[in-house]
Amino acid sequence: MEYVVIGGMAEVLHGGMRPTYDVDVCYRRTPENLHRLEAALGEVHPALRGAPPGLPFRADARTLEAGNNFTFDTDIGPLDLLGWVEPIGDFDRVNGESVDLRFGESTIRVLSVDGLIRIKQHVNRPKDQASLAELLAIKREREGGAA
Amino acid sequence: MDRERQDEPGPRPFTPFPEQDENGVDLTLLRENLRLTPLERARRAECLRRAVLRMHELANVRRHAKPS
Repeated sequence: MEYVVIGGMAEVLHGGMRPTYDVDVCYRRTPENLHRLEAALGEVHPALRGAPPGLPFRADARTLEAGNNFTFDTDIGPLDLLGWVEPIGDFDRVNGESVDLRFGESTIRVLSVDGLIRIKQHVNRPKDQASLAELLAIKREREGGAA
Repeated sequence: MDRERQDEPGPRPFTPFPEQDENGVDLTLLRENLRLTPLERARRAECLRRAVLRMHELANVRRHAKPS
């Protein structure tokens, strides 16, 4: 499955200290990937977050194709799937600004610190400003700690 | 000798605040976190998340417990 981890969990993976309670991923919207996504989602029983209980919903490739950005509650916690990320764009653009991080025995594709900074500067809510300060500190520390 | 001693820097003043940058980001904690691998960071975040949820559960149990 082709996806990139973005949002708060990406910040955590880069060294951010702010707690996060959901996982945001940007996914490729090709038919093959939507079918892989459908299979993966089937394992964690997604329900539309905030929808009335009992509302019939099936996270299959057809539904995913009809939408773009989804917010789910799943067996493993809240999961947001984004086909488009402001101000960067679709999966290809997000992927182009991402890095592979070693994750145990494998690697995980994660939006870069610079990419996260771009998003935070664009969205600029109070909580984004706090994240932005931390991301700028991470960048500075990585570049040698110069002020 | 006395002069040398005078030139030595004295003990750093105690501050209750850890080293911070201009935005208040705790650099001590950040540097510690940057020494971890991404997997270790994810595990640590998950532990913290569980700890917060557990504290919340315990607080609710106490709040709703009937006095004996």
